[in-house]
Amino acid sequence: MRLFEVEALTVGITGSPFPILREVSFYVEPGEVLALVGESGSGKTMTALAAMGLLPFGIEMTGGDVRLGGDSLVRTGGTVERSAAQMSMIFQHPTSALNPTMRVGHQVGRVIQINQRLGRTQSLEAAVELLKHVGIPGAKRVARNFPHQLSGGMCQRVMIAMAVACQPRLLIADEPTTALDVTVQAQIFDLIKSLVSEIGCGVLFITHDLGAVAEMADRVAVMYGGQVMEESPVRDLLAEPRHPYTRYLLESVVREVDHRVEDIGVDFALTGCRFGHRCPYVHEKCNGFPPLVEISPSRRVSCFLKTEELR
Amino acid sequence: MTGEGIADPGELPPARFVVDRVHVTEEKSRTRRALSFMRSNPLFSIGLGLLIAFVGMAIIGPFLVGDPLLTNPAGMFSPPSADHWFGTDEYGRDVFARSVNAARLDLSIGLAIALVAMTIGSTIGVVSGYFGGRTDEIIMRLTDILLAFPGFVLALIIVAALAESLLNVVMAVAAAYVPYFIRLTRAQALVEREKEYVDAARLAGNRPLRVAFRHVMPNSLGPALVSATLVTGWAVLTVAGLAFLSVGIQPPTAEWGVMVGEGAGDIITGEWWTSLFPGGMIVLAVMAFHFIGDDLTESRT
Repeated sequence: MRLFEVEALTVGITGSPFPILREVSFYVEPGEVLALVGESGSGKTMTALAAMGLLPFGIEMTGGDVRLGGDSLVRTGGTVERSAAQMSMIFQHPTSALNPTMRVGHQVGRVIQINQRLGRTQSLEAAVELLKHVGIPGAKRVARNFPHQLSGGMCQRVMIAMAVACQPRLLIADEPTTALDVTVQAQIFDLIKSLVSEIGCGVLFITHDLGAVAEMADRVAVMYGGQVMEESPVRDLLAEPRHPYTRYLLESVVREVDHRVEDIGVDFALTGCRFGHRCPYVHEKCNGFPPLVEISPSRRVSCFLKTEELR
Repeated sequence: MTGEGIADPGELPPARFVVDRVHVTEEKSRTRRALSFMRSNPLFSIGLGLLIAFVGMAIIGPFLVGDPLLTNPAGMFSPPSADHWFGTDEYGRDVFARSVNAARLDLSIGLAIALVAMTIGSTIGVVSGYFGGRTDEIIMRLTDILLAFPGFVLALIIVAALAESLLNVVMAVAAAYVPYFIRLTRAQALVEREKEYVDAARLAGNRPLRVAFRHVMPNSLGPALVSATLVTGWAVLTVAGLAFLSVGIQPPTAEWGVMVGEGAGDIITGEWWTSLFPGGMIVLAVMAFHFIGDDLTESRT
């Protein structure tokens, strides 16, 4: 059984007929890392927020299903209900994802206190252990610090400790290293990897960095304009991208410096394929919405081109 | 240090550059930092100086001066002298003793009003800003109504409607300042609620009210705390103003507004000191809070 499944997830601004996310579908197997890749504004973070039930005010889920272990998390009225033991999230900006007025030990402890029904002091002790576990030197002292006293990398470790505190079945990492510098990036990747194999949870890894994808992910879902363009094992995708957009995306990670992909503007077509206006293979059919079609047992592509034409 | 490739210390060439003087920015002590801050913010320093003087006056003053209510028919309307620094009033009471005693009352009332207004106002403001939607709409329209009245008039109406007691004065004037704190805190809560730590707190499983008061509120209090200093000053002014109009605190209580009210009629007959000195106290006290509050507001932005 699939651990986590998002099916035809559609999200829109309240009252607007044009969806922000259009029938987004992907799945995560147990113990697997699925990377959600796409440029800015492609809907990666929005997908994660929708799946976590954290959509901002004025944006609502209008269709689709989010399932964890086969059970739907969507309740009536389009709200998603989940507990910290089911899913948790690592945020993009470690320094703003921690409450500046609370000692970090308490923030981690609080998660344990709520979800494991431990006493306050016990949770605090557990929090210190956890901070030690995520590689924070002098965890006992650091637990008494406020977030502004810690570096970005340390804050991200605290954040990770909070995320794994309840041993979630699915971990969503929303660009966990974008705000950190490269050396720290590698450490954080290693930490996430080791914790994931320890807990055995699935990971939804959101990033725009194809290097990170190659390093972390087992499978990839490529998003553009709120639509999943292609879903594939990472090796296959990097070796032979099928969807026209994926090819553009991989080309943009350039070998020669002067080679630039033209037009990075986000002026999507509101109806039809969102990549239509930039796609070299565009034809009349593309005014309709292309469904995700299975082109091989492990790969799905959202395009009207025939399977053999996609090569 | 036994790795290969590291030269034997003996083979190292002699150092070519000799550092003969190192300039290190002097670590300033806390007091020196405070002093340099004061120098660059003269108004703040004046305000702070005045405030310290007033607080000292409020705390120990009443023990040092005479009874503010002691009348002396023989010595009425005596001008300022060595015995009576601020002169005496129509009952022969010592204006200085009364002014000093009034400092304790006025400052504590001002502070109490600011605290009550801030507590109630920021609580409502956080609820309004964090939960939004219809709750926010209703609260905002209600504050609109309250803000349509000038604060002083509103306080006047409330005190007039309630029985006259110290507590009611505090409540009435606080009520006049509550909408101000609601607005301030709501605006900040709107900013804070979009931050990731709020999402993180929700993800951790905190109940909505706990997220609002434990996470959003402490981070939304900044502007309200700064404005509380300004409001303390305004509250002193409002209370004194009400007392001047014989609303709220009544004679013979030693209170600046009461004293100005009682002494106002004496100016025309030449006894300027009975109203000028307590009036000056009000000006200085309000100025102290204003200078401090203004500077804090500026340094926040």
